Order: sequence, then structure tokens, then C-alpha cells
Amino acid sequence: MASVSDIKETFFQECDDLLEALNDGLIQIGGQGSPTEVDSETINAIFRAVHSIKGGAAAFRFNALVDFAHAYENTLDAMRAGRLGVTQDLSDLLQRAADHLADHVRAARTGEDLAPSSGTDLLARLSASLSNQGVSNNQDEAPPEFAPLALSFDLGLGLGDDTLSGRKKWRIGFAPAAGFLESGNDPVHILRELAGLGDLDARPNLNRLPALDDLDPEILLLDWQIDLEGALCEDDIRQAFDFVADLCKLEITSLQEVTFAAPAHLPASDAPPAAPLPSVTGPATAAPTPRASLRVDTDHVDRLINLVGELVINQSVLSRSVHEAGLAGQPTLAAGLSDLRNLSREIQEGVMSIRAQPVKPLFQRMARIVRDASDLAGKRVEFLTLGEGTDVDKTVIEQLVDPLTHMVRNAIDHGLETPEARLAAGKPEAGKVRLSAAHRSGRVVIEVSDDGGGINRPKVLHIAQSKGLIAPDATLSDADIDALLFLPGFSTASSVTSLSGRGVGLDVVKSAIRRLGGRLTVASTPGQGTTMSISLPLTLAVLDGMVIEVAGETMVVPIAAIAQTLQPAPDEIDHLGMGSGGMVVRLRDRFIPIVDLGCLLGFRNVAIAPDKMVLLIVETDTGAICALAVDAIHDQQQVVIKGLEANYGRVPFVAAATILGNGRIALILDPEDIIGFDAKAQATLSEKEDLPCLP
Amino acid sequence: MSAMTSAMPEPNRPDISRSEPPQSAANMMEVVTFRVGDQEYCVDIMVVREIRGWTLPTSLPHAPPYVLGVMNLRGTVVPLVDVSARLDLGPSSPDPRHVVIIAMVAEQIVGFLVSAVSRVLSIPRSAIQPAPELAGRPSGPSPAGLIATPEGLLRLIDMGALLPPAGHRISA
Amino acid sequence: MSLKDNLSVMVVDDMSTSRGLIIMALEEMGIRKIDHRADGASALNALAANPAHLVISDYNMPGMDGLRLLKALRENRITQRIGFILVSGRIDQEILSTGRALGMNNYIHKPFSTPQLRACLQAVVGAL
Repeated sequence: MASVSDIKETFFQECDDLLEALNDGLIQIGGQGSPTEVDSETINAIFRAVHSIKGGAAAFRFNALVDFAHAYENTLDAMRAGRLGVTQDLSDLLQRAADHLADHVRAARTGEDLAPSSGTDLLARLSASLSNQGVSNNQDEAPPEFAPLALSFDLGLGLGDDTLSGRKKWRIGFAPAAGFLESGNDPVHILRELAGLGDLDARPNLNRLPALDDLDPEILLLDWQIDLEGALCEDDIRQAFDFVADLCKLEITSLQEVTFAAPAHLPASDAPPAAPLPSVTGPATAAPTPRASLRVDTDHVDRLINLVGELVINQSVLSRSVHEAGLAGQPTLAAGLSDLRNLSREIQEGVMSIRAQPVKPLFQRMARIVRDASDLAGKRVEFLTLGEGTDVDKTVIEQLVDPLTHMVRNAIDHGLETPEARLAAGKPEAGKVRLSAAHRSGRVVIEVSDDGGGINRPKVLHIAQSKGLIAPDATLSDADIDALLFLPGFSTASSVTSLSGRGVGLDVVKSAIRRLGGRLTVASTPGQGTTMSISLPLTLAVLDGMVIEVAGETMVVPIAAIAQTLQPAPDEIDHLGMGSGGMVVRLRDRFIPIVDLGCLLGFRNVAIAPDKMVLLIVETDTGAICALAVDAIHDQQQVVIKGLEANYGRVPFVAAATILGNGRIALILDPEDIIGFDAKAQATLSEKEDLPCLP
Repeated sequence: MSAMTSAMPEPNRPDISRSEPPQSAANMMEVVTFRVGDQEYCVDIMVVREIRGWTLPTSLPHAPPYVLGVMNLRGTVVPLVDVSARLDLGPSSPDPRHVVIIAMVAEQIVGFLVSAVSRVLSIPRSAIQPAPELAGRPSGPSPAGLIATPEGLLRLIDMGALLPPAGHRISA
Repeated sequence: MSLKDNLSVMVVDDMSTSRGLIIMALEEMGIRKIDHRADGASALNALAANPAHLVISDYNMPGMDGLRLLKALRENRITQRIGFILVSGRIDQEILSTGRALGMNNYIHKPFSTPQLRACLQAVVGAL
């Protein structure tokens, strides 16, 4: 039995869906700019969403939520009844009321109270919306009179069976008499016929059977108790026994003990009800059937993902063993293994997709951010979303809220010009902010773009110089300048407003995205706008990795970080006389520092000889680059990410671990961490030796 | 726990419990005894999850010398601590005859490499004596208590004390 | 066998919160044969195949609302005698008069307590 707290949790989950439906409807009403003729089904859906939230909230006595929903509902009811026309102003009010309703739901969920004054102006506006139109908002009259209509039950047996042609349960006692088989009848035929009438459960009585030695196959000593359920009456059953009626004992009883006696007042079934039906008007449109869904505890899904990860590993262990046993040539074995591999992959993908959810709720939250931020900034903003149906791992979605909020605020606050500046530049007064999501080559790309003035590069450069983030005489490309925005400590102080990310810089956004295994990039055209792109792996649970070998250890480097692999020719490597840290490789006229991974990780003291090394050129989001010297590169494969931190803690230069096909653990390296460490080392070097410093 | 009972010899009731008056369960403690080098240790059975054979772990960069690396315990990444090295008795040279005690310590699952697991003992809590402070003792964590048994001295170990201290790793 | 043990009830509400609350209240009363559907159309199908004694339905549902469900029940020979209780957070005279004309047996205003639902039910089926 569900407990109240279970149902309460269900209520909040349903509230999320209802708020989403509410926002969908409001977008349809207000999105077009000139809300004139609004589809009544849309208004009904909006009304229903608010009404359902109110109804559930009332059951749990969330009084503040109920009161606000009630006022909101009254306005919607007036709209629904056609007493209130949809204007731009009203559409705006409804949207803000929806935001406030969401606040109430959140407050009810977390158990905190909203500030007493919050929402009073909305309540006043909601109430005014009704009085302006001369509409009474007093729905709280005394309950209307209604005399209950009693059903009359007959708790006896078998009365009026035929009035109910629905499914019924019957119990049949069937005992064939002595001459049953002799007369050419077979009980099996009868049982089959009964099985054709409904759900049959026949139990033979074996009590009269003698020992096998004494058994006479000509004499039937069995009888049956048969339960039959279906839309049938007693006559249907009797018909099956028509030919053997005098050759057996038959008992038929109904298992349905409560039956209806027709209430006297009901109109005859074939005559339509006499009274007019004023409120049931219009065609009964088929409700758009929502996709059936299942709410599952994410722990269950995670456990499943883990198990499937094991399955994939197990499959590759098996396949390796078969190979090592010299059996790989056997066609049936090879085909079976290949099927197993494909199936495991499919199961893995299927299980991963359970965690995936559309980004729509996230985007709707951003719509709210846009409204609040544009109010504060005094800018009119047209907000567009694209690709709301794009599926992204649920955990990723949750962790995108803060970075995206910041990016959207940033676009409004810094990206868009003031209305005056826009008009002066010949642009429409309302700025455009677009939020889009799409799947692109195995990753999810989420973009926030604006049609503002673009990044003011001279200003950015100036700020970076004045803050000592770059050398005063540094010459930087446009992309380098744009990348400065993400440097810790960079904040365009001259334009800080109450919105600008609550004192948080874009560097925090960047590291949040990086923690998700993603990249954040920016592109900007002066006068035309700025686009910030987040590129994320489809799921946090797997990673495309390059399997490498370092000092006898097998390790994995994320493919995403690898720009290039090469086996350098001797003349491409230069020694700067600093021991293992002092080697650089020349790549397209650029000197890239070589980091011996074995030394860095403490697995060996002497760097690998230049003629034995294989280099992985790895790059960070900020364009920092280095060459990792490793002993060998094996192959690329998708690996299941396993955390190290739960049982051990953070390990320097290591992001996580995985389990390879041989069942052993391999560490997944963290290139950002390695480059960051190396950059520090290089910086110390360059101070001492005046070596060229890398970006 | 099933792996443990199968891996271990039949519990051998020690003389000590017979020489004492009957004890109520609350006053008794069940311990798993194990050998490290030539010394006998024991650990509260409540923290022991299972006993496994040794397999080659994967090295961790910049880990303390007594952290041999991480091993795969049915899909979970579990660090492996060399108890001998941790107790300053010299590093083990592990081979498949060595045994790993998988223990749950401070919500972490950790493997402890020991020479052999001996048996399960039931000892009265009153028989546990505090370990004296010894000058010139090895610098590793000291036993949580000492128990005198007819077979010799048994050192009670708190597995948590064997874990690497927080912040032991170099900062990158 | 008592009425409580035998009475079969179909709960219809598009919100699973409300379904859950009604079912919980019914279970508290000791009613055991409870089925439920999230929309009128599937409730109608289920009831035509396996009639219940009583339907407790929400009024405000997408597609087929509570009164349309009642009307459809009354128009089918198999389901026409099924008792019908309407649940709504907004009940006005118009809804009630339509309900009355269609042979609605009772109604209950949301939110309600278990004793209130019990009273509403007993007015229709007798003492539980």
C-alpha cells in the first residue's frame, strides 16, 4: 500500500509535469506576440494544470500554494468561459503567475516558506484582471444541493446474471459417468471447447484412481473441478455439455456473489437520457495519449548500468580467452561471440538511454531566467528555444542548470546591447537570445547565442592586461582574446550589474562543464552577436578512450583530449638541457613541451629514450597543449567509467578508472590536470631560464 | 561473508574462552586472526567482508609505498594496502599464496594484503589490554590492543588506522 | 462476505496523486477490490470487460471528462447500472444538474478526508 509520503513524492513529480504543460500552453498563448484567437483546448490544458496542482496541494494542506493556485485558477476560469479576452498584458501576467506557482511548488517541496510579500502584487493583478472585466471572482459559494442516489445491491446469488454480460467467474463440477468413454465421448474435447469460451483452470480429481496394475483404461475414473472466467452465461457452459448431459454429473455455480438489481430511476438503456446536457458540448475529442512512462528510482538504473558494464567487460574477457585458446577460428564460436558482443552493446546503449531525458524542462527553467534577467536589465528579450526534445543524461541535465543559468544571464547582461544602442545600430529593440540543443557526432551540443554586439575584444584585452593576466605587449588572436573570458580572475568589472552571475566568472562555468566531460567554446562576430557552445558526452558513464602503455602499466587517455598522435623523428625533438622536463617537439613550427608520463606519474625515474617514445598531443579547452610521451599506443575503445574516489580519494593526474577486457583495472588519465601541472612547471622554468612561455 | 567462511578453517575455539567464566554475547568479540610475516594479528569480524586470493593490482601514481594499487572486486575499484609495509615490517613480495582481507572501513571498501588468515576467535572484551607505549617501536600505527593467548600474543588492529592519512597525496 | 469485501470500485483520475489518495482512503475503509485508470476511455473499456459496482471519477480530465464518462457508462448496457461518484475541486450547480440528469449517484468535493469519502460512499452503497 502506498504511503502518504510516497503519494506526496508522486505529487511533486506530477507538479513538474504539470508545470511543464502549463508553460507549454502559455508559450502557445503568448509566444506569437499578438495573442488574438487562442485555441480553447490550450486554455483548458492550462486551466487543468493549475487546477490539478491545486487539487493535489489541497490534499496535503499546502495552503499558500492552494491559495495562489486558486486565484490563478479563477482568472483562467474566466478566460476559459470566454469572459476574459487574451491580451499581451494578460499573457504576461499568466506567465509570471506560472513562475510564481513554480516557486510555491518548490517551497512546498523543500518545506520552506516564501517571503510573505512575494506574490502579493501578482495576486492583486490576478484579482484586478477579473474586476476589470466585471467578472466575479467569488467561486466560494456554499456547496450546491445534491441528493445522493443510492444503488440497491442484492447480496444474494445469481440474480440478474444475464443483465451483466461482462466477464464472470464460474465453477463447474464435471464428473463423467461409467459409460462415458464407451459412448465415444472424450472429456478432452469438452475441456477444449470450454477453453475456447474463456480463461480455463481445470483440476482433475485423482482420488479414485487405482494402482497402475489395477488400472482399466476403458473406465474413466477421473472427475474435474473447472474454473472458467469470461463473458459468458450459464447456458453457454451447458451447451458444451449438450451431448453428454445424461452421461455425467454437472454442477455449475457462479462465483460472482454480488450482483446488481437495476436501480428503478435509470432510463432504459436504449433510450437516451431525457435531460439536456448543457455542459457536455462539442465533440469528445480524443485526448492526445501521453507516452506511457515509468518512474524508476535512479539507483536501480545505475545498478543496471553497472551490471551492463560488467557484462560488456565479461564479454570481452570471454572473447579474449577464446582467442588465447586458439578457438577463434571456429566459425560457430566466432559467430556466437560476435552476436554476444553486438547484443551486449545494444543492451548497454538501451540501458544508457533510460537515463536520458529531454532537455525541455531545463530550457523552460531558462525561459524563467530570461524573464527575470531581462526585467532587471531593462532589456526586451525574445527568447527562442530549439531542439527541446534532445535527450541528455539526467545527471548531466541536473548539473547543467547552474552553468546554463549563468550563460543565459551573461548573454542578456553582457551580450545584448541596451535598447537605445540596438536602435542606433539599426537592430530591433528586442534582443534575441536563442537556446538550442542537438546531437552532433556522438555528443550533445547546447548553444546559447545572442544577437548583441559581440565580444568587445579591445576592452577584454585591456582588462586582461590591467589585471596582469597577460603580458602588456602580448599579441593575441581573436580566439585567444575570447578565451580570456574564461580565465579565473577575469571579470568585466566595468559592466558588473546585479545580474552578472552573482560574482561568479565564466571560468566557473567552464570548470563545471569540464567536470561533466564537456567543452565550452565561444564564437563571436562584432556587431552580430556571440554564441557559447557546450559540447558534452552523451552519458557520463562511458568514455571513448585511447589505451596506452606507460612503464608496464596500461592506462586510458580520453580521445576527446587527444589532438594527434605521432612517433617523432629524432630531428623533431629538441633538448633544452633540463633533463626529462626539458624536451620539446617541433610540430608545425610550434614547440610543444614533452612530458614523460612514466616520470610524471612516479612509475620511473628516467624518461623514455626519444627514439622509443610515442607522443600523444593533448590539448585543453583553453588551448594549452603538451605532448605526453608514452611507451606504446594500443587501441581505441569505449570504456565504462568507474569512480576511484568512493574507496580511495582523488589521485593526481587521474580522472577515474575502468576495467579492461582482461579484468584488470586501468586508470583513466586527466589531461587537463597533467597540462595544468606542466604549465606551472613550465612557468617556473621560463622565469628562471627565460624560455619561450607557452600559452 | 560466504566467501570468508569457505576460505577459512573451522573456527577453533581457543583455550582462552574455556579458562574464563561463561561470557554473555555482549562481552564477547569475534575476531579474524591473520599473519603478517611471523606476527599474529586480529581484526574485528564486523568489518570483514570477504577473503580473497591475491591478484596483481594496478599501480596508483604518487601513492604511499604501502598502497599497492587498486584491484577489481567484481566491478568495484578497491585499493589494496600492504599491511606489512604499513606496519613498518618491510614490504611484502606478494604471490598468489598471499591473501587479501576485504574490509569495510569508514564507508570505504579496502583490501588488506596479509600473509595468511588463520581462524575466527571469540574473545572476551575484558581480555583486550591496551598496547603499551614502546620506545624504539616501528613507526607504523600501533595496535589498538593486545590479547594474550596460549599460542602467544595477538595484536588487535583497527583497520581504519591502516588507511593512508587524508592529504597524503601530492597536490598536482 | 460483507459488502466491503465484495464491493468493486474503479477509480478514474488523470493525476496519479489523486488516484493514490482516493485508493488509500478506500483501502483504509477496508475496500479490497480496487482498480484504477488514468483516463475515461480506458476506464470505459476496462469496465465494459469487467464491470465494477462503483466508479469514483475526477471531473476535470483531458479528453473525456467525468461527466462524459458518466454519459458513456449510462449508454452501454453492460455498464449502465454502475454507481458513479464524481470528484472535483470545483463543483457548481451546472455540473450537478447535468450529473443528476445522467444518473450520477453522488459527488464529493476535493480535498476530502477519509470519513467524508466514507459518508459519500455509504450514501450510495449503504453501510460499509
